[in-house]
Amino acid sequence: MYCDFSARNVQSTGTVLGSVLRQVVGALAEIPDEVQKAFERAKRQVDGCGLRLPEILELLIKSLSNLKRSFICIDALDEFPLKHRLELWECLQCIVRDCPKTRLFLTGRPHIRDQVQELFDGTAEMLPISPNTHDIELYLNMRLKRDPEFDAMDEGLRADTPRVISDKISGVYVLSQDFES
Amino acid sequence: MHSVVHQSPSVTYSITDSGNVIGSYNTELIISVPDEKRQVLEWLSPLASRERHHAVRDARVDGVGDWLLSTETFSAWHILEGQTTKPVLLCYGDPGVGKTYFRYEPL
Repeated sequence: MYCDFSARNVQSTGTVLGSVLRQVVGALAEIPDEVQKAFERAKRQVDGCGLRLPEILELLIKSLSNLKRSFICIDALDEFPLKHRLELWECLQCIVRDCPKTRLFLTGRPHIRDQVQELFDGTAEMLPISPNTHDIELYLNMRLKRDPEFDAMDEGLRADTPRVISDKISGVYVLSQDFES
Repeated sequence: MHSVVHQSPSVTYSITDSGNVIGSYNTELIISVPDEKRQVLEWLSPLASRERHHAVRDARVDGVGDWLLSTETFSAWHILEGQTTKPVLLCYGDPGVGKTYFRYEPL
């Protein structure tokens, strides 16, 4: 699931967990009874048929229990609307607590690190991500291969470009780390 | 209501009532999901995250971020056995370092 600042007006805890629920149910061979029943109920109602957050959470936890193992990935937590964030995090806590076969993979900018640490109180592992020389070279080589003006570079320049850029970037990073420590 | 229409033996499109062809970028998924289940899935959530996922997947270079998979932190986290393992993993870093582009495919 991707949180997106540009979608902040439409993203809520319900839409994020609803999307996860959809993917979990989609992965199951059979629709869980509880989900089917909720669907039938909604069909009978005249006014709207959206699930409310407590129901989404309950159905998600039930559906997850049908999977041998599952990984929920939520990208860019810091782009999720601030006003709903606590609510989302409380739901994630419930999932972690009630679904022992589920793992949660989160990404975000450094400022949310302490919040996540505090919220999951010792149950969250923290991994700092920094530019990686090998990744940068892979990416630059791909871009060079797709260069629309291929003849603009000779072999030497083509070989030097990834090396020099990735060296510079990792140097910048080491420097900024030195400043932080 | 959705129905699956076979136009040729190898190509399958899903057609809505209005006649719009949807989901044409992933026909395999549509073929394998029966109508009834599709209705339930549509009701649960629209497909927005799938579109974003395709965009990320297409822009991704194979092998990028694989170093993460060999870290001890990741290995300990993704193995489900053992109650002592921490169930949550946060990868944090500045914008543009590649957090969105990690990929893990379980064997």
